[in-house]
Amino acid sequence: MTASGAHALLGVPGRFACLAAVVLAAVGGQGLRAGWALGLALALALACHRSAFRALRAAYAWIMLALLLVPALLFGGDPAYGLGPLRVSLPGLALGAEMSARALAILLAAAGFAATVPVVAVAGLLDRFGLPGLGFALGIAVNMLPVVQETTATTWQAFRQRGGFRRRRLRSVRLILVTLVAEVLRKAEDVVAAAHARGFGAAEHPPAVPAGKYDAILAAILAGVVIAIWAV
Amino acid sequence: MRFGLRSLVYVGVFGALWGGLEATLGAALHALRIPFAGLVLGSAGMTIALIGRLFVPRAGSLLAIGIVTALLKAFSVGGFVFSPMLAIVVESAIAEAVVLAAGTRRAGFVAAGAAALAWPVVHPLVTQTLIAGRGVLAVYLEMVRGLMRWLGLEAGALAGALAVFVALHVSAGALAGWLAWEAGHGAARRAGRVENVR
Repeated sequence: MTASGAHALLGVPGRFACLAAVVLAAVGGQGLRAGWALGLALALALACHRSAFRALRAAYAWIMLALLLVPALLFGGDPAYGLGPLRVSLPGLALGAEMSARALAILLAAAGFAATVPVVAVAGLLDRFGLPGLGFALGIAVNMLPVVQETTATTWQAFRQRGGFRRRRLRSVRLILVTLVAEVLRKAEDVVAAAHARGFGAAEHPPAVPAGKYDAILAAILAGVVIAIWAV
Repeated sequence: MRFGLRSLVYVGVFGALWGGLEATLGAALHALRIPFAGLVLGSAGMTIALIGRLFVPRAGSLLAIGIVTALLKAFSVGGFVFSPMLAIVVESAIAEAVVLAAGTRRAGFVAAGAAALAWPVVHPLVTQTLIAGRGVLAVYLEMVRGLMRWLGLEAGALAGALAVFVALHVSAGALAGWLAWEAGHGAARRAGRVENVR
């Protein structure tokens, strides 16, 4: 299965299985198992979502790993070697390596999932996991976001120009909230009226969750791999 | 957790309000490196979510607003930002649980805000333990001990600082709950939707 082929063969459930498998392997495994979890994450990223490696370009990823490795190296166990004024611990090195492997595995899996699955499809997954209508609510939120931000900016400017924050600041915050919420509710009622006029029912239109041909097979294989990692 | 059309629209709108706040106020606070930016942002977000709970008076609506906001957060930065998304969902779940237990009264809202805003105190430890394992807690504990030895501090001083930190969060949360109750009812009167608010 090549990386490009995987896009056609894997659907959202298959990609969710990849994420779940890596997280379960990483969270359920200590010591050497964290290394196996990282191996699984690397194999899946290479085979199914190479865009996951983009996450490693971000500085925060390396800062996060350094923040796990360095303190563990210095404070993770009995000091064994001296590096100038610092005392380095070998058990700390092992602990830091394990923590970094777990974090890197989860980072790769989450980045791969985020890069290949649209957020609306995630809302569709939530719909199917017993939270019906959330996909519709998310769609409303995305469409209302510019309106809400414009209303917020207008309300804020109107208050500032009237000197609303010079005294009794808590009362001013309350008044801003009242104005903002009342205005946003008025716009929400327009959306409700438009949806009713079109005979739209939220539960009838859950967002699509595109499935792939090999999702079930991959999920079964990954379940086996995770159990094997736990058993090591 | 099943909502009607109007309730879902309101959940979306209040999710957009909280999400918009995270994107604009959050970006400004972090860019200006204002101390306790997370606390300010969390209090403002919880106020919005609790007002939303007044207008969608059904079990689960606060959690739904939190989930929509967390997904919007993913939209805003173009990827899954695990830690803040988890914080938003957990804070709204805590507030939901407290409102269900204490009722949608002023005291219930104050308690819900206070409980929800206590979460950010432990949130970094929880997420790092989830991602890196329990070993990270032992390392941090050893670091704190080393720092205290170096500064010549006693355990009581650390406990005092921690108590002040927690009290600050809980007070901000309680204020958010009170403000949500006041502003929510004010907005209901202004929008002519008093019958929707319980």
